[in-house]
Amino acid sequence: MVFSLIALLLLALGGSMTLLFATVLERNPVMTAGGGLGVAVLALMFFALSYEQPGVLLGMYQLGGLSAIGGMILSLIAALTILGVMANPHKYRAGLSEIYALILFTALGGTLMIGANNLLLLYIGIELSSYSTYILVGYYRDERYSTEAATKYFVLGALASALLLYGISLLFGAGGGLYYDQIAATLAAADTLPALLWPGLALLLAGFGFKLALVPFHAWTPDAYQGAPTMAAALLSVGPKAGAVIALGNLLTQALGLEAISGVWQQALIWLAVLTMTVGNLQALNQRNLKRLLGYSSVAQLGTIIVGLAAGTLAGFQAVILYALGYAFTNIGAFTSIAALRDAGVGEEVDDYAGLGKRQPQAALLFTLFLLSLAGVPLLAGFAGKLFVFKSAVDAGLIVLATIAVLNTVIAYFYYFRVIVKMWLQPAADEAQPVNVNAIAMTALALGVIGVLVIGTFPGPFLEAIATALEPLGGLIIVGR
Amino acid sequence: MLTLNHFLALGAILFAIGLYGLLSRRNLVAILMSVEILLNAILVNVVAIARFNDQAQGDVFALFIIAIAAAEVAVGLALFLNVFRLNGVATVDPLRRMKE
Amino acid sequence: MISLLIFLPLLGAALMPLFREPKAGKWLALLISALTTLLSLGLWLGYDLTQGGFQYLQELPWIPSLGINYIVALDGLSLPFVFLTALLTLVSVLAEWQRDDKGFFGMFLMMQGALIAVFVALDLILFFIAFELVLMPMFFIIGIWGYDQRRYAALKFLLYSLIGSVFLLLAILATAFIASGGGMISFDYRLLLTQLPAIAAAKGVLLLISSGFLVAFLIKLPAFPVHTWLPHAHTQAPTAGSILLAGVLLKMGGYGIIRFNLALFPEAMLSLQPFLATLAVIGILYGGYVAMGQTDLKKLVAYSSVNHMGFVLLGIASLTAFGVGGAVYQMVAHGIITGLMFMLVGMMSQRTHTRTIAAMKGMYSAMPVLGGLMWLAMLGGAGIPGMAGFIGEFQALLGAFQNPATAVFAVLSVFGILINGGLMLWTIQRVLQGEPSVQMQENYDLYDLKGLELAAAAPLVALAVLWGLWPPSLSPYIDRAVQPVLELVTNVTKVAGF
Repeated sequence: MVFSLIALLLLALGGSMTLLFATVLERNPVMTAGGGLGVAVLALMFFALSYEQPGVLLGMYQLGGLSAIGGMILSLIAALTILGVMANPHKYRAGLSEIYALILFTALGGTLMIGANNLLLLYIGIELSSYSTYILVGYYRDERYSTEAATKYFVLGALASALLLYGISLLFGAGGGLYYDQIAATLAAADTLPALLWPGLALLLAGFGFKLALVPFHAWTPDAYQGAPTMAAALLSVGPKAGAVIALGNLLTQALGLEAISGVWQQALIWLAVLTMTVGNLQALNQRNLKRLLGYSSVAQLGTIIVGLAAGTLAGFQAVILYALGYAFTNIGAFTSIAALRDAGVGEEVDDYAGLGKRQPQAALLFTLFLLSLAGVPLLAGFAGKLFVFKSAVDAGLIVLATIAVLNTVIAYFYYFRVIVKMWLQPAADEAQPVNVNAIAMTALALGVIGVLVIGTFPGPFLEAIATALEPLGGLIIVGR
Repeated sequence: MLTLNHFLALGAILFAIGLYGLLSRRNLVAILMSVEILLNAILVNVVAIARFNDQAQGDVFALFIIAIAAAEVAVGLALFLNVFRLNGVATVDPLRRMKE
Repeated sequence: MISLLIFLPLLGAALMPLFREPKAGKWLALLISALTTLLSLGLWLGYDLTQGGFQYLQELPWIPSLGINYIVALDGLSLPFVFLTALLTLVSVLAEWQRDDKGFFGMFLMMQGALIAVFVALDLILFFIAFELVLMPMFFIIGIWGYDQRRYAALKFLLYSLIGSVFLLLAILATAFIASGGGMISFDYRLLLTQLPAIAAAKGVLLLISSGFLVAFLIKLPAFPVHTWLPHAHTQAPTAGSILLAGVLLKMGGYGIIRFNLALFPEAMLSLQPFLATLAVIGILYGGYVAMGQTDLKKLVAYSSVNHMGFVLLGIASLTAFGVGGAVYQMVAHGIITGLMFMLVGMMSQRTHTRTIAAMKGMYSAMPVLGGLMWLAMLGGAGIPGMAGFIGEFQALLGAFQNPATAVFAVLSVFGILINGGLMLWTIQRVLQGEPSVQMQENYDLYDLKGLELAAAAPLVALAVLWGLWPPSLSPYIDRAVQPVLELVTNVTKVAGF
């Protein structure tokens, strides 16, 4: 109990204090960044300590186990993002210290939604992380792209929140309460399922679909990614999504795990997954802007994650969480590479990366490893996530879905390898000047690669920790075929 | 006799109006108002459900929605002000540069 | 011990970026490949033939909760390939000694580790990971250090292989799931072998699953319709890349079919027999025929590989002990002989600055040692008695004759031998005989093989002759491993006359 509280307070107070003393902190940017990083790392450690201390906070927030793991993933994401920002602070000129507060709040929001066992808290968590990312996307307030991206993101995000909240209100009516167990009990006791449930479920999935950028709710993604500051895009691609996908799994299995209902959401998720993977991958194929390409790639990746949820099994949920962890390392690493190279004078178009292998071999090698992990090359984190997701789908009897998912990885290879081919197999456009990447950026990238390699090579301990955390949910999950 | 369904229907109608406004208006302030209508539609739902199902948590929920809506509008207004500052107009029209 | 064979090269590859001196790369690569060659030779000599089965077993838990473990062992089937991998890496390093690029040698070490892991893995997921991992270094070797059209060739190679791997992964997952029968899922090959009835019981999907394996392996082999990546990859790859590609990478296909398709899905193999034999015969005839029309010497050798691999598939499709044993023998022989051929072609084109057959004339009189070795390699490729290629081809063909179901195909493929033999002799005549053109003599320095190049060629020549004249040094190991697999098939077929 104590440790979780400390961790949550660290994130909340750390963010608030940074905002309060922003003008003071601005005078010493290095210390501010260090402070933000310290808060995130400390929160990570306290979440880790709270792992074996289950409990409930105010009846609304689950402690220990799954929420501890969620907290660890989110704090990790915050720490990696802050590292990326530290690598090129002068990019984030005006109001430097606010960016750390917003990153911490995004992590806090994600943690709250994962641990929530109450619809209200779930909503608050989602909104907290959404509002923080709206501001982060529009952080370059003097740049039109950034503002344009933030506005689009805000409008569609507000729509998504409204849909989600509408769904929650109907679920509140159908389930007779806001608590997950209350809803599950009411629905299980009902002779016929209340009619409000179905539109509620549909709206809920649509709302989550927007937040997770699942096709057909993904229209905001590419613009938001392209216009946002690169590290904001990095956070956007993993933070709220890792939180929302685990929260969605939690909600679906705990409140709506009844077999009559799980069959329906499973079908819905299967279709969402198939559409998301296929459309995301196909649209990523001919993107010329790297951030836009990674935007579509993250759409496709989320589709693959959803396959694990669609399996509807404990193993599937386990794979989803491991995937999210690996994806956090990988995608933040990829975006940090782009940010660091941008800082060193390399553009953000795929063509700007021609011959990078000669101009800056170390950074190019690390970026290549992140791209390979995204593509799903063995012994890297992306492969472990994909392997376990596919395995859970096959074991749940969803062979067709698994086949589509696996074929999609082949499509994905095309565009990831287009970038790799550009970097290594093509000569530089201009006279190959060497590119200097600063030391902090290299450290951040190296840390990311270590994470990717460790998760990809030895996923066993992570899987076991996740499995133990998921055990309490075991009874509630229905294995569907 | 008013039943829960009447209130839910009212909520649905309000929601539809808000949705229409959000998707069709070009003025950013109007869009913001549409967002408010959406949230108010949900408020009607929640309060009605709380009243008819005798659920005190619904009232708490409603209060939270009001507070969160205020925060959302604050963020939105800040962004839209910035659009106005950069483009001189507060509509969605200048917001199509990125695709090229 | 086996793990050392896998991780020593991988460690070498990982250390590569740490060296500042570009020359250090090749010395490290030489050291490690020499060590692994000696080690694998030691393992071979130490293998207890009377006992047979899997030896030097090593088991470590990896992801036990999902039934994925690190299990490696050697048997008679994997021994020759492991040795071949180590030896050909050594030869490749020697053949590319003039390069001072540590990235290049790092890729080779990585590929060596992954290839050895493919041949010794007894866990299906481990096998798959190694199978996939082989792609990456090969992609970069072709893509970065290849000839003009290297990008196209590298991408084509990658995509063909990936499509195969995709189905392989699905098939592996499905097989383990079916074999588990609802219980604990395991990817242990030995455990799956004990679950054959459970696998066979899944009648409806059996063919589908086994095709998943088959597609991946046929692409690698490569068999007829999916062979088109091979000529490009070969012609664009640097010499050492071609050596390993032809010598070992293709063998993953044949090895996989025998190890997994034959052992885990004997029924499906039986029903696919005519299909496979047809593909084999088309590959044999078509490969030889197309090779005839090539003007590029390297492409000619590449297409003749399609012809040779056809015999491998024919031998396997015969489902007889003779045929399958011959297929393995043919794979090993092809690895040695074609590896040698690619190396010599590379050395020749390095001197003449061309690979066009018409431009090379009288190479023998200009460079007697190089030309002589080429002569030998070409004869080996033609399958004349006394060279390793003959034993394999002959045995595979004989096996196909033994089984009435494939006898017709065997008759047809005899024409393939004739085409291929004619092709090789014709090539000898065009490239080696006569006198080199005046222009060639004036413009280029046609120096003969130097010490290092000779050292690279020597082991291959020796082995090609040794295994041609004295099969008992190789075939007992193969037979010992193939026998139990075929018993599974005979149990299913009960066809008389095997």
